[in-house]
Amino acid sequence: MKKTILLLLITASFVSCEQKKENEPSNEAQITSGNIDIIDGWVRPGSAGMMTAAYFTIRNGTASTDTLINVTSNVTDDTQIHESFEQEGGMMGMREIGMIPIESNSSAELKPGGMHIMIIRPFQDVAEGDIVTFFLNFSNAGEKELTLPVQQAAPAQ
Amino acid sequence: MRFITYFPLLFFLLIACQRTTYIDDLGDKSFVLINQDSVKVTFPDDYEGKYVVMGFIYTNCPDICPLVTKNLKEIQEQLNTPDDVHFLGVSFDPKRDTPSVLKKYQEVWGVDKNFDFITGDSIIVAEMMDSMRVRTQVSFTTTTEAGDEIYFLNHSDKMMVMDPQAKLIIEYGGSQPSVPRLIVEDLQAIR
Ligand SMILES: [Cu+2]
Repeated sequence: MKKTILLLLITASFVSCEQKKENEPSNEAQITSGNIDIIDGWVRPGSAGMMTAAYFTIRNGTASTDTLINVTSNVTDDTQIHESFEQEGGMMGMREIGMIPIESNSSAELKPGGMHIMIIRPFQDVAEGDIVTFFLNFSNAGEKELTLPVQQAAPAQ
Repeated sequence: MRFITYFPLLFFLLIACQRTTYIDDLGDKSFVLINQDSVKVTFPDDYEGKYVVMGFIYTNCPDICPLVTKNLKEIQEQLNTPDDVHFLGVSFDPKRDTPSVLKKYQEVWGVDKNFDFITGDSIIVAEMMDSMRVRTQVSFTTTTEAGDEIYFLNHSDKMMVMDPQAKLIIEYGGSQPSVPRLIVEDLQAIR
């Protein structure tokens, strides 16, 4: 019986170790003009002439649906709105989705393995510590400028 | 009380099973490939005696494949870069992933010790992918402002571990966030 109690104790200690820290909400809005906010953005490092991607969360605090319809950047002539998806048989694919509608009072999260801004063949290396400028075009809110840091992973939340 | 008695037995049975089962034996295979430094690599011959953790990637893939590469890097870091475990990023896009492209990719990721990116002749790479059951297909092409055509690939999301006797013993979805923990645990249990 002693062993059972020991086993239970060990299990309990593992469980308590696994408890995660609560997510603190990010208060670092990278742009706050109007009621469309872009937060938690970053760009993955990449090499000139190759491919890389940008990620961020769009919060629509306006009364109606708004749609991200186009993105341009100072590091490339070719930017596309993409989505990664899982196919049958454990295959992963990527497709151009062209636009991202965001309903009123909700957000759209662009993150690795999901929606992303594809940066095709950048003119120069995009290295950790660099800043990349984007212009986001929304059907209602119009154009918004966004500057994002280049880093290896999403900002800590 | 009964469970307590059977528990060690079950445990040993599990370990015994792990030792005798494997996904595939690559011992009779021999693929001549090339790494990021343009050095000839014979797979799996060159790695016999070591564990090999390998992910399958193409460098024109900026979203899923970096998750695979990141997982490989994390596993190596968590194991403290041991000499008996070699890491491989194997490209299934040899047409574009030349050694110099892979060299750049390796630099961006800041990995080099016991960590290679390999590519090779298209036919040999295709044969190797076949034996690993890694599937690829062109998903779509896009034309840049400059008029260049670029293709993207749908591909299997895989990470595999090969043991020192060239047997494939472990397989997971390469980009999944739980993979580093699982493979580190597996390797710590069997090494
Ligand atoms: Cu993409």
